[in-house]
Amino acid sequence: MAAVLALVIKKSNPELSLMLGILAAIMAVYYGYRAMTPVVDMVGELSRYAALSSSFYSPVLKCLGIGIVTQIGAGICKDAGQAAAATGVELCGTAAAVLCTLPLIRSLLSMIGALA
Amino acid sequence: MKKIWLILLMTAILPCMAHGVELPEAYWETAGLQDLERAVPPEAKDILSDYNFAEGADTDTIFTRIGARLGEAFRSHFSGAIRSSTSVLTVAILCGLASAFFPENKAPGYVTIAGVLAIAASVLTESGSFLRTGVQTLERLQDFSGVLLPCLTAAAAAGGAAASASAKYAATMLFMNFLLFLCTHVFVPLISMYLACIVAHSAFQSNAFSAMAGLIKWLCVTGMTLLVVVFTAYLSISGVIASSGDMVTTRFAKAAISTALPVVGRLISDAASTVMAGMSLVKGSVGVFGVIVVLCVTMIPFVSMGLRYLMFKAAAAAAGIFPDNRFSSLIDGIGTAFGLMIAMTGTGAMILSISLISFIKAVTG
Repeated sequence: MAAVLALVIKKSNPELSLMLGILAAIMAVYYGYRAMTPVVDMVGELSRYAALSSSFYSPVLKCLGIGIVTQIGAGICKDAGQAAAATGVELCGTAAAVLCTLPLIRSLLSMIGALA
Repeated sequence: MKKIWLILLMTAILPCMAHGVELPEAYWETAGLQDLERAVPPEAKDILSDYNFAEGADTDTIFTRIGARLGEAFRSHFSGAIRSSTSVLTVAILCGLASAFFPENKAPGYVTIAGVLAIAASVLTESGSFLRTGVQTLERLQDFSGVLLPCLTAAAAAGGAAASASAKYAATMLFMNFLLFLCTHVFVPLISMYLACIVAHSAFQSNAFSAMAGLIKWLCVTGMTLLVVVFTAYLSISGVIASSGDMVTTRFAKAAISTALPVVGRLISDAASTVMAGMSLVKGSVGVFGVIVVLCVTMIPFVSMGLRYLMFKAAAAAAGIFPDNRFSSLIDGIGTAFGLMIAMTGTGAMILSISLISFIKAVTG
């Protein structure tokens, strides 16, 4: 619905059309997150059963979140005709994800060092 | 009257002969059994608590105890193995679901790399402790063989196989020391490198890491196989040469005693044969005791590592349902690393068992 409305008003008011698209994307993410709650709970239950420390799987969840936000952000920039900004957003997303996995890399390297 | 004397004489002699079936204490003291009993590792102490060297092993009781211990170990390690495999499978499921959020079911590289690192970090702590357990098991086997093999050598030497027993003792100690050196300085670092390579291959999908992991696996498997083959060949060849020498020496000694001493020579020669037969019984009993101790010491590490090997292989098969096969190959590689740890411990147990069986089966003239 939002996509059709944005298309209708795009010629007369392109700024408003873009804002409408952004709003629709945010609402979709919000409802999508609510729908995903049981799945996240199931992963939590599995990790509790497996005694998997949250320090191991939370970076994966953070990377997943960063990936989704980056994808939406880059899509919005592309809609606005800002391809360079889209690339910048993707780059920032990758940097943030690497930052999230840094503790994992550190602990892994120390474990390999201890093994050898 | 002669018959009465004969009956009286036989009544006096026969109980002594019947008592003679039980070996005198001197036989057991010669073999140094007290040291052996003290050196039994704690894992085997309660299983062999009432082992009687003179009467041989009560196999029913011992195998019932071993079966009970095996069942107990299986129950306690099964849940741990399930937990480990579930933890890696949870991360694989999470990453598999994550890929569904992105176009063409392809998650960005960093999500997959985070998943691979999470799996590796959750497993490496455990595999490190299992590597240490494997080395500790080998150290225990080496310590015990340091007491067991001199006992067997003493018994075998008193039984007329001095040269072959010494050769076997020297070969087994040499190979056990060499294996322990190889394990601590070569195999354990190689297995750690193997784990690092499969993690790097799964994270970056580089074929160079995959090839390196394959090479490390080949090196480990070939090294261990070669060690057992060389040990068996050395034991066989040195055993054949030394035992033929022993046979000649024994027969020559018997013949020399029989001919050199006119009246009692034959009697002494027969008595020597009796002592040798008695020491062969001691050797057999000590050998069986050693084999049971090896079984008790290696049983629990084998069960714990074997269960993890099986569970990781099953988890790898389950992770294969996701389109990205990196998780499947990573979990499969972790299972293989556990397989290499089993092989490392098994090589030590194999070397000692082959040596013990060759001691027991050795035939002297």
